[in-house]
Amino acid sequence: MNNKTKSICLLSLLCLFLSHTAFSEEEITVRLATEDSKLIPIFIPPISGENSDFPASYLEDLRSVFTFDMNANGMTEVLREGSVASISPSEMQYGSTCDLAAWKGAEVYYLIKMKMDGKNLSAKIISINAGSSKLIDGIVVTGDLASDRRIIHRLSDSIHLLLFQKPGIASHTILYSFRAAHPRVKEHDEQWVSEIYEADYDGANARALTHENSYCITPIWAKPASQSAVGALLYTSYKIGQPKIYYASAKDGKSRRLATLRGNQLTPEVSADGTKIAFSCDAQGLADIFIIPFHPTTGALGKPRQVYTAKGTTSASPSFSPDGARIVFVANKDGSPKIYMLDIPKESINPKDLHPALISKRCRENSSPAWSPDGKKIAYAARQDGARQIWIYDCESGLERPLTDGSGDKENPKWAPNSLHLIFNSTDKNGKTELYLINLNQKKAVKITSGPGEKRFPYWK
Amino acid sequence: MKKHFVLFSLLGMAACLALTTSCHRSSDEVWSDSKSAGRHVKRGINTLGGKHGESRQVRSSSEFSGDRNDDFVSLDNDSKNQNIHANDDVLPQPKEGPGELGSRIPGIDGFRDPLQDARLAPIFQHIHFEYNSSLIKGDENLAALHKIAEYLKKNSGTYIFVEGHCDKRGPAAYNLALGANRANSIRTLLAKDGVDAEHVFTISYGKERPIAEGDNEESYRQNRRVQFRIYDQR
Repeated sequence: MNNKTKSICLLSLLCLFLSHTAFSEEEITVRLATEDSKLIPIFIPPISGENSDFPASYLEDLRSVFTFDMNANGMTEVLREGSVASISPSEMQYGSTCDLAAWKGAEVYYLIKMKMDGKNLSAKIISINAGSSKLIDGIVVTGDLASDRRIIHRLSDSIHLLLFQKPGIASHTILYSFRAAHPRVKEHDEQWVSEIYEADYDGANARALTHENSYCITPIWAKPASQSAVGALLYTSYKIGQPKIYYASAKDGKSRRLATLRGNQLTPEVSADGTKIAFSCDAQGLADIFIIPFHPTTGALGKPRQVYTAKGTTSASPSFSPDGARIVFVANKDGSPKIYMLDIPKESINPKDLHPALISKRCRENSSPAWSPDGKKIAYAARQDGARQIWIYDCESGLERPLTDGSGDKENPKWAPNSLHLIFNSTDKNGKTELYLINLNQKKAVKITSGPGEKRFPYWK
Repeated sequence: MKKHFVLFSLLGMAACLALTTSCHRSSDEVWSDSKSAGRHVKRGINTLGGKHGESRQVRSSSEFSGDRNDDFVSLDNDSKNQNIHANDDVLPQPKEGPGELGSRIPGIDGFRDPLQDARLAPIFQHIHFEYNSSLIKGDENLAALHKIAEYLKKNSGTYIFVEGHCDKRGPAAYNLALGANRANSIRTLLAKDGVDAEHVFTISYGKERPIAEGDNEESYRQNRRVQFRIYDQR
């Protein structure tokens, strides 16, 4: 065994997202990444489809979705076929026995073989080092790629849970605002509309959630308070003129105003437990930070409370700590916009007695902070060498480091529930704004959207 | 006379209701609720009588200290901080919500572009800002604002929307808030010049509506602006 690797055993049966799948009782060994690469090399042969109800091209589409998932999960890396050229083609067959020494020689840690019998998909996860395997079967495929993509994402997350004992992110969806030219241009300043969209985490299956023919931006998702409850979409809309925050409970989908607060209501964010919404509002004549108690079904549960204001200061983009006791936000109180951390005042206080801590010291022009669900990191955008990059602030060490590089202005990072992945929007080489997926283990961001329109303000649902 | 009788009766009832149902609350909270109830009753009666809002000219932001924030709890809501404001130059938003249900003032779509009117275009010129700033600087900007203030003081039935815009270089989310502060700084200055602040609304478009698409300083300058829309109440 490679001395740069470790092995651990999974001793208990793991709960899977797929209720209709089952694992065999064999043990499986997990090898963690080497020091050179944080990613575990795996290989996925073409799906065996001798008895398949679907053409080979469709099976290849499914493998492509699965390969994207396993390449983007931040834990594994799918080797190209050229990397396993020494392996006999018969080894790729689902039913063949594995020449473990040959696969080990090709530096493959896991082999994931799949077969389609009729409409039933099976996946066999083989640990090359341990010589053990697990089986996931009984996955019914529909033949409709849009639905089957989600089935594959659930399979990917099941395998992620099996291998790493942590949920994957492939089954999650992304909310974002989609800005496009107005179909009926009346005046120069009304030539854009923006609606809230939802797509799979890989950008596929995009669909509009709002149809206001107005200007809807900065969507967020308030998780259900319990398993039996429903969540709510919140967003900013210009439909009555001034931007106001609206919520639409998943119970009836109707859009309602969050608060009757006067002025411009902007950049909402929800606490981890879904009970508080923080936002920026100029009700008092300055863009300040407010917090309002919230329930995803009934909406606001009281008056908004101003929690930060400072003379002549623009404050925006609040993000809660996981315990909901602190926020980080952007403010230009000291000149260039920077990221500040504040203990949320519990009662009335002279604003002059509020002393938020500056946390972004390395770069100028910081914006859109996002606190990770594990509480350990804060992602934000910072201008560096002419381009806006995503930076990470480590809450334990207080150190900042850039996560991205290259051209393109990157903004609005949002953490996935696993605190490993981020989604953000960036301008591409044509100046168009698209969504990108990145994780802390891989430097290269993956562009997940394309086509017409500007996609911005992504948010994990 | 009858209207005043109804007003005082309702105010009295509201005060009694607040006092009798608040046995577990402090006297300050009871008094605050009683004041709020009174304001809502008065506003309702005014609306029924054809009046709207409580328009009056404001010359000092200090006039806004205290009970204007009835739809949110301000940081310095505590009585001990009543006269201590971190922001000397802020002006709470008008009571009237343009475009809101029941409002006599339409949303911004009901306001017109003064630059399309030959008589108004010389008055309602764009005001420009420096990068990442909501401070109004320069004699040219101040003179332009004074012209707007003079017009609004002479036309008491006119309402305006102040639109805050930013250039493309700043981050989108932050620019939304910066645009709000640009519009608010204009509103505050107009009020200091004697304009009825209840007739001035603000809206931020951040960098969402540029008027110049170029990647040069002149385009950026044109986009870092405040522009106006007006509505004449008949």
